Amino acid sequence: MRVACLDAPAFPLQLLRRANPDWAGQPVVVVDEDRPQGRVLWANAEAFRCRVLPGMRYAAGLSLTGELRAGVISDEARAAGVAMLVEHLRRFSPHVEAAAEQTGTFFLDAAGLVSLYGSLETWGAQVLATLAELGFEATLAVGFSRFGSFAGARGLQAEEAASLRVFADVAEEQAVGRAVPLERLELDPALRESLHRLGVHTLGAFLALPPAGLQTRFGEAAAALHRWAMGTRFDPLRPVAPPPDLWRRLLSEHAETDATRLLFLVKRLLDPLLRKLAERHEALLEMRLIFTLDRGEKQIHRLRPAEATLEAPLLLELLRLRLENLALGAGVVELFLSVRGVRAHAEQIRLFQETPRRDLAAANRALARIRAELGEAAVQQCCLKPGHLPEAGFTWQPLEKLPLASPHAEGRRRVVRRLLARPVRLPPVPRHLRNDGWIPLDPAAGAVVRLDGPYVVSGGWWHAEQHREYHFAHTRRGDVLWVYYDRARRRWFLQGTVE
Amino acid sequence: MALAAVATPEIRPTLEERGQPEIIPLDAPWQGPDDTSDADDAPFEDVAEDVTDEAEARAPSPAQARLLRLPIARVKPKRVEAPAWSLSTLSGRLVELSSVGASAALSFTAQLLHEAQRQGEPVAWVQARDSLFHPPDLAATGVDLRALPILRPASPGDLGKIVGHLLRSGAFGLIVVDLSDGEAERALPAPLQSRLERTAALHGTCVLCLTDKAADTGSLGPLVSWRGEARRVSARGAVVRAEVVALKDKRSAPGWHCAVEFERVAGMT
Repeated sequence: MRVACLDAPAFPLQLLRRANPDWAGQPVVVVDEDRPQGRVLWANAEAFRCRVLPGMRYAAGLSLTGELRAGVISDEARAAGVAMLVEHLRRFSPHVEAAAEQTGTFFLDAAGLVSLYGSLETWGAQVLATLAELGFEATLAVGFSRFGSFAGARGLQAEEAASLRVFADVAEEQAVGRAVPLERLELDPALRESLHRLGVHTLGAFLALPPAGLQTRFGEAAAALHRWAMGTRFDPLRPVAPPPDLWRRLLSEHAETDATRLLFLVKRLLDPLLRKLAERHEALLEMRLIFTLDRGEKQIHRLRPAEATLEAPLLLELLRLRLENLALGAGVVELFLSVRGVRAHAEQIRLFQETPRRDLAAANRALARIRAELGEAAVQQCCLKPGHLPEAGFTWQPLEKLPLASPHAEGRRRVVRRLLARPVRLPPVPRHLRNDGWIPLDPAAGAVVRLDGPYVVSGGWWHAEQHREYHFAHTRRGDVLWVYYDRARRRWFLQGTVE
Repeated sequence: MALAAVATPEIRPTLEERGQPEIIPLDAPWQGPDDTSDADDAPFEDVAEDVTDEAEARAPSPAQARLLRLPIARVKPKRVEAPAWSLSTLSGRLVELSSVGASAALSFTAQLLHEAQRQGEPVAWVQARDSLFHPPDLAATGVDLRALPILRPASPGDLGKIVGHLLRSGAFGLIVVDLSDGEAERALPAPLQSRLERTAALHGTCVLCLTDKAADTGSLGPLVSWRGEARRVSARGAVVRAEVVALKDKRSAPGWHCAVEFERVAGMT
């Protein structure tokens, strides 16, 4: 297992610097509130040189240097920055985790990347180059455990020699990790001071302390750090789930200019997106439609319903209004539709989800009406039961309530016989069959030309014994009659037909 | 996703090609028309190959296309949905399936019942004659008998009431009315047919009437939207080949037929 840790030190400060590129070379601090009494949270090297330190009030910093620049990085901005970096890092590894405890620290699954990039050094260099292009400074360590790679990345910041380190084996990872100064691990200042007083300055010295004593003397935070560093904590990689592809694209081979046809093309894109939103228990808040015109131009349209919805007709109405008043200038050769959703109410989801087309309750009500009007015997069902004779293979039962059908998934195409309510007595087979022919039922059907069988069925031995010899009689017209010869009565009977 | 080029002449399969019966082999999975499987597309693809070649022969040359500003693309014909013996073809219609002699009406009806139940459509069977399908045979086709109410009118007048109640509920996707020979017209008079036809169309219900009639006799009435004959054609080994022929179709041209191979019952050769 190979795990990489990417650490962007002073992440809020980097976000502020990235948002204000003209502040380069000036003392910059991140404050918690945008007012003179705001407390300094982060300070860059220039601010440190002017003795502006974290914990000071912004007004106090200004008294030290009039060039001091300050800004607030909200939680939302920080989360957006993390999400942006995760999105970029996902190009290099399928599993990217943004550490919850240390904002600006990311863990990447680096297993199996050597065959793709040649070496982990090449891979790491490309990751760092991408971050540099985005305006972030970071260090990257590729190790064998989460804490080992994390300590390696923090150790690189202390050394300030290189920004990439790939550990060859676990021993090297542990050796480097033990030398990392404690102040690089973002410990609680009080804990760090206590440890310093005991002469514990590095991670190796910290790990040498007895874990039971740590819990007692320094609390749960110190014990948790010790467990994490020793590898005794269950600590799998927890990658951020990739966002769903809430977009669809459609290419048209010819340039489309007609608004109605365009509307139907957009509908083809919209319907699956609405289904996907419903699956995520979201409703559409906004949709973005990009038309690529025949001459290469792009037209971007944003549409927002009055409130988040999953109703396609409402959205299509908005689209129609937009498209009808659209001056395209050229035909559309590509359509791109992306949607943005928000958490939907349960009622919205329930309405959108495909309800059964038929109402089983209404079916039962109809059957109840028939029962009430025509009697209980009017509504029945067939129930199969074991029996040798055809009429004994099923029974009639009143149908109280129509259930939801559960047919066999893979039906069989099979010939079905028709069963007469009562067997019909047939004329006997003539003695001179060759001359006269046996016309059992309908003269129009012609004489029997072939007789399959017999297949003997017997039953009712204790009451009235039945001994039947079943045949399939093929007539000249093509009828297939299901007949039997009753041995006891010495007569032929028609049981049914094959249809 | 590419759209078909529309600048070239629209190519459709010829009537002869459309009229070829689609033979469904016995071992093919039983799927409804809504299934978008490869097996469903296969018959069309064969036609599409031929038509594509023909279209290419008639398509403009690259030079002509440049002059006409037409896209030089392989022409793909529009898909022509041929009618088939399926619930989607027959839903919302008053349908009559008749046969006499070498009949296969029950076998085709069983296929329709199974398809409807698989699509979650409640079904009902109105038994207006003395005989009934052999229940074990119907169960063997995959139909769930527990969810098949069998309604038995005591008189022809009750038949209209039963079908009316079922249709007006809008809860059934398929109602099979098994009519006896000679009683059919009396059981379903024209005014009742008119009401049934309207209600069936309103709720998208297929009312399938089974009658014993030859192909050359008239249908139940002018309001019947589709009338066909189901007959066994041939037998080979353990398989019976049967086809349903559209004698009257108000939504597309009559004459189309759909051939299906059915497994024989034990003992029948």
